[in-house]
Amino acid sequence: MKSKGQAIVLDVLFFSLCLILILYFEVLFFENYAKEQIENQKETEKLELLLFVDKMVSDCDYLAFTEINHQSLCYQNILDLRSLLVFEKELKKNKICRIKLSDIVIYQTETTEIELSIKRGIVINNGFKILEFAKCK
Amino acid sequence: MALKFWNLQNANNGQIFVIDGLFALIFISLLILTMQTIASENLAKNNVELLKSQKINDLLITAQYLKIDNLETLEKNYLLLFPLTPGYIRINNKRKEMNYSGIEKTTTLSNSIKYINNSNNKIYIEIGVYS
Repeated sequence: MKSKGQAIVLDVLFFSLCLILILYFEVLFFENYAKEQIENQKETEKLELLLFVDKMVSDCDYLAFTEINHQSLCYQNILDLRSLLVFEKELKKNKICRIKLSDIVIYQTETTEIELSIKRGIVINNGFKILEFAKCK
Repeated sequence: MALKFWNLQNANNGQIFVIDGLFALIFISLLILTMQTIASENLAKNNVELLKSQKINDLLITAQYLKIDNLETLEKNYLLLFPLTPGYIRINNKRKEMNYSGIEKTTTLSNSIKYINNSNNKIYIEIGVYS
């Protein structure tokens, strides 16, 4: 009778231990899964930004639009920044809040909390310059 | 249940299968978690390499357009885009290591371009970064 009681207690204890362990691993798993999803989302957003910036400096329908390009020759990274504001809608859509040409700010929005910035090498007025795109939160 | 678990000859099959199933569930959870972590790390690494590759191409395209044929100018441009990243630049047979402090050279990401400069000479430019 006594040993049967002990067996029930041990049984309950062992079952509780298993249950706690499983719950612990499940919570740990879902926490990590959520963190990974956030991290993946951030990396995907970064990739989108990289491709957007690349489009801005390489695509002749965007900033790579100079007089040379009119002669059916499209040259990447040779930019005409006069047309920058034409793409303001797209810049806002991609949360670009500041664009710097070397040390000069050529575009800025009210948001200032920079999350990420990307530097690209371009040619303006026959000189090599750095164009920096900053994305805000 | 506990006694039956340890004393398997008296345990009935149903209980063993339940415990077995629970352990399998834990194992699968851990496996999925590991796979997720690997996928995320790859995505981050790919983004870094894509940006490096885009910058290398920027240097090559602009060098061709500006007809750069000396190491000094290319070096200046490299340092503007990669202030800290170790790598190398090469124009024809001249090669220069950049930001190189004797660390072990690992994976190299590189690209090259050929063009004819104003003096009608063939110029070969190669730029690489170590990661």
